[in-house]
Amino acid sequence: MTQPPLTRPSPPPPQPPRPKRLLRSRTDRLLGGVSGGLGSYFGVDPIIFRAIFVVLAFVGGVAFIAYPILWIFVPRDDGFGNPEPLPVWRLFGGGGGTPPTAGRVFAVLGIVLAALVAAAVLFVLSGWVTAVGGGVIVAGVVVVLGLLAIGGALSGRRAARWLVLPALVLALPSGIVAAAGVKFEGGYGERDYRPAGVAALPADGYKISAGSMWIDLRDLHLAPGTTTKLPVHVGVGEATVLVPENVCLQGRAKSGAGVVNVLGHQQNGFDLDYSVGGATSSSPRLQLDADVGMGAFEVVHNPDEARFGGPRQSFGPPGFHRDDGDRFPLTNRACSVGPTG
Amino acid sequence: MKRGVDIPALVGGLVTVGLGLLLLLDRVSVLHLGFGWLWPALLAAVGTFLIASGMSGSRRQ
Repeated sequence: MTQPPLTRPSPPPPQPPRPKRLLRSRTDRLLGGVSGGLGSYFGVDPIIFRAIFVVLAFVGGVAFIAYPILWIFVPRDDGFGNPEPLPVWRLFGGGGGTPPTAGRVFAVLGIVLAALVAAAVLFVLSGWVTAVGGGVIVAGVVVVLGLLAIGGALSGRRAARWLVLPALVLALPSGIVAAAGVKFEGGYGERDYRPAGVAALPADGYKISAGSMWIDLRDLHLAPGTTTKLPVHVGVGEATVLVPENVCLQGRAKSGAGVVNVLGHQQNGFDLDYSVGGATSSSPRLQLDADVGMGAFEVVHNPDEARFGGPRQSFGPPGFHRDDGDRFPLTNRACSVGPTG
Repeated sequence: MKRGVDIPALVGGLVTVGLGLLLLLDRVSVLHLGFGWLWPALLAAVGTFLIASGMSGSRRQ
């Protein structure tokens, strides 16, 4: 019997190169492996992308949006250069090549929606409780949640880390309210005051929790050489104070976040504290003590100069938050030139 | 089988307690929490938790 001639098996045809895919790295990761994946995809050191994300975090916070999006929607490397199913897909039960059922999708969406609504309610409630003076309770609950997470962590419960989420939802609004110094006292809505004399000024000042206040003091007729105190408190909102031109304005206006505009001198941003005054004349003096949590506060001489809204926008040109303050060069002349009227 | 300490939960818990204490100290007027403090404190808290989670995840693998 003759043996068939031995033939060397031909080598397998070369595989076409796999198309390059952007995948999150399993091994080179600090957070989600996004920078590691980008570095591998572009063939550069991932530290470059980490540095870019850090820079973008400080430039308008772009990284805080871009990184989570890449984390969620770029699949992770399975270790062999292939993409794993996206966690979002797995959440809907779409792992293992089977598509998620409609029921599962609706159930997951319902749970996510309910969680978001609960978080929103918790967020608002925490801010409100802090603003009405219950900040100690909120802080106490945050501490307790933290202690529970520590307890769970020490006993090896991985789920304990989820306690951090409601704690942050509680701490964030409470922190914002605390940092801005928002205190809810004095009612809500729009207030319009036009006291006819010093006797009509409220002893504890003008207060509003949330809304807008218009305080027109042009009919006060203060006596020369006298000092009249004017406390103003706004939790969230805006207040406009109209003072006569013959009155020397002194004191300070503080705002946790927003705008302070005192006779044309404007400050924007956070932790604002503007002082005015230094009287050398015998003009009547108005001692301002304005405390705004979040919002706008302004002192002007005439309604036309007001930039912010209120119940009497019909006084000035239409428009809310007009930005034409330069047309109205205001002064506090009465502090230095004496009574003028 | 004895379960080990869950590092992200531990770090998250410690950070949360720290934030809560910060809020508490502000409310009892021991310190004044301004926006100059708040954003760095919150970012540091979230960042610490994320780094702990990331490092723990990469060590598991």
